[in-house]
Amino acid sequence: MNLWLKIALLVLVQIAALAAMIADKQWTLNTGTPVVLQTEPVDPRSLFMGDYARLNYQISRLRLDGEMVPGSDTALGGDKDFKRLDTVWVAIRPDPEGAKAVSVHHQRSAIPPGLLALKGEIQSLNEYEWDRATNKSVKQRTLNVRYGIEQYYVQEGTGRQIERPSDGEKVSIRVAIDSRGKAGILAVLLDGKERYRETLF
Amino acid sequence: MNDRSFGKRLEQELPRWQEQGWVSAEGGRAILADVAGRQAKMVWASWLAIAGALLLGVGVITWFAAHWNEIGKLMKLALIFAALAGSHVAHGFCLTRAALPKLAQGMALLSVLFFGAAIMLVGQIYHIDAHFPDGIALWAAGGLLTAWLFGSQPAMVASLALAALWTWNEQFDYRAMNWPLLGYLMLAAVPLYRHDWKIAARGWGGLLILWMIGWHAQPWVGEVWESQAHIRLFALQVLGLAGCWALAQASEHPFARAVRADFLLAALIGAFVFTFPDFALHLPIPASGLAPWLAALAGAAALYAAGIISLVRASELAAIRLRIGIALAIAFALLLAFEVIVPRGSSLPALLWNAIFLGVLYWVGDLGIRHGDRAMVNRAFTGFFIWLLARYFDTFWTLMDRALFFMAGGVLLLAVGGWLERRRRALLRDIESGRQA
Repeated sequence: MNLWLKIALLVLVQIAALAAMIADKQWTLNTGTPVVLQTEPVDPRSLFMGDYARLNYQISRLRLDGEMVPGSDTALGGDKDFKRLDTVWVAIRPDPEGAKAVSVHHQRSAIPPGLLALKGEIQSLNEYEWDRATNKSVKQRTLNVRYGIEQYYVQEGTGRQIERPSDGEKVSIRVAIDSRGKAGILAVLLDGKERYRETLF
Repeated sequence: MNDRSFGKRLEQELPRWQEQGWVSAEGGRAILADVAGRQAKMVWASWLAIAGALLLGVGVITWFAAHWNEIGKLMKLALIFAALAGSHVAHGFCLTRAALPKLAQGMALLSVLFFGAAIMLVGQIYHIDAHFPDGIALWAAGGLLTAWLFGSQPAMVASLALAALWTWNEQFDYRAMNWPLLGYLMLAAVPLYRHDWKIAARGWGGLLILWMIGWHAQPWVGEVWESQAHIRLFALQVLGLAGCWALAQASEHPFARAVRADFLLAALIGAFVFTFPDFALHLPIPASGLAPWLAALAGAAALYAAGIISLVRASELAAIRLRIGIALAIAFALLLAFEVIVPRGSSLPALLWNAIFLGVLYWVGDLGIRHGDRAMVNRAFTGFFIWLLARYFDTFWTLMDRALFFMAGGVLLLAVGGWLERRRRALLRDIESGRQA
């Protein structure tokens, strides 16, 4: 094959691979069901994370069973036998004030009808949780789940505002959940108002 | 043959050519000076080109990082695609217009780096937070395509390094079997078969061994120091690697010549591990279900048998030496099969392994001498020295006073080490003089 033909082929294949990444993401954003997720503050940023905000959602921590910490959400339904790096399917009930996780399963088919199915990966499991009211550790199984929507690249210096909002400010994220259970960030909301909105170009 | 080996070979051959009167003393000196000059220039040009490509790549990436916020999405994409296409075009320009083949190799490497940067930047622009190893796999695939189309060893080495990172992440971090890597290895073998790329070929062999080690990190095998399944798997892997070595040893293809040293080393390390009396004794979790292991044993044994048959067919050894080699090969395979089928209950298998290991070392050294292969002779001597040290520790650690243990060990090491080194040097001299004759 001629050298310049090889170069053209290589350029085409590599750009097609990059375009496929973008198309896959856009497909999620265009066809997915919009849902608002409430965020929770995270630990201070890592030195290596640069200019992106790390997002932690209410549905990132799924409480399975055990003695419930007062004030925390009720235990979730569904399966209980999980291990680190398992793929999980979380049943999500949309709510304008913030979507709620209802149950968590190994299989997508187990998601109750009428609820959205969101695919995640277990990052870690905790057997105990700290109860601030009593200053005691209580037995409670918790899954820390990653959904692929935990990073959001922002203008330099503004990541901290999203990660650790000032007193009274509420950060929520509007995401789209597609038919494959994949999620993508549509917009970042500060006190319910759009601060950043995703566009193709 | 690369330039450096060519120069060394000339240094060895020229005195004989001068004696024969084919080349004058002055002509010999002029030839050596010419080769030495060319060699230095090529090495420097090559290193400078690669270093330049790396610096440029890093510079472009950091420049993007510094100005990223000021650029619109469409412009960002255009820049990424243009940089990617530009590195490929620069490669073509260096090859065709400027006739700079070494710089073209640097450009090929740069294009691999750019493709990785492009994946990361597109991920950043569109907030793509996918399974991390998938991105590395895509990067490695892009590098492989570059190496394949441009015939570039640096691009292939970069791609293999990325594939190693990919499989490390999948198998050791996520503890999931990376089956797609087999497809990658098969595809990577095609350009390696076509080109004489020694470094990349050894990287390929190393990647295969890394993938095999990664099996032991899988949850279905069980905890490493508790489950007998690891011993079965390990024995099968040693048998398979020994088969791969035999197949490669029987071939004179440059790809086979490059990978066989690492396969032999891996198989020898495997055999050495089995020589320890306490190895695999009293493992609490028995490996369940023998049938799948027997099926796997049949597969590994078939590969091993194919390798040994090829080696015997290609061998020019005298009948008696050949028979000894075949007997050792059969005993080696039978002991491995025994490790797979019967869990260790005593130290008797270790005793047999020690005998086989020494026999294999002797045979490997002998084969190395006959083939004039310095690496094989060195491996045999190193293996013997390490074996001696291990047995000394095994035997005398609990029997002797610590101070006496170390003193005796030191004397033994000095004596045996000196003797082994003298024997090794004498053998290597014989190999060299045999070559020259």
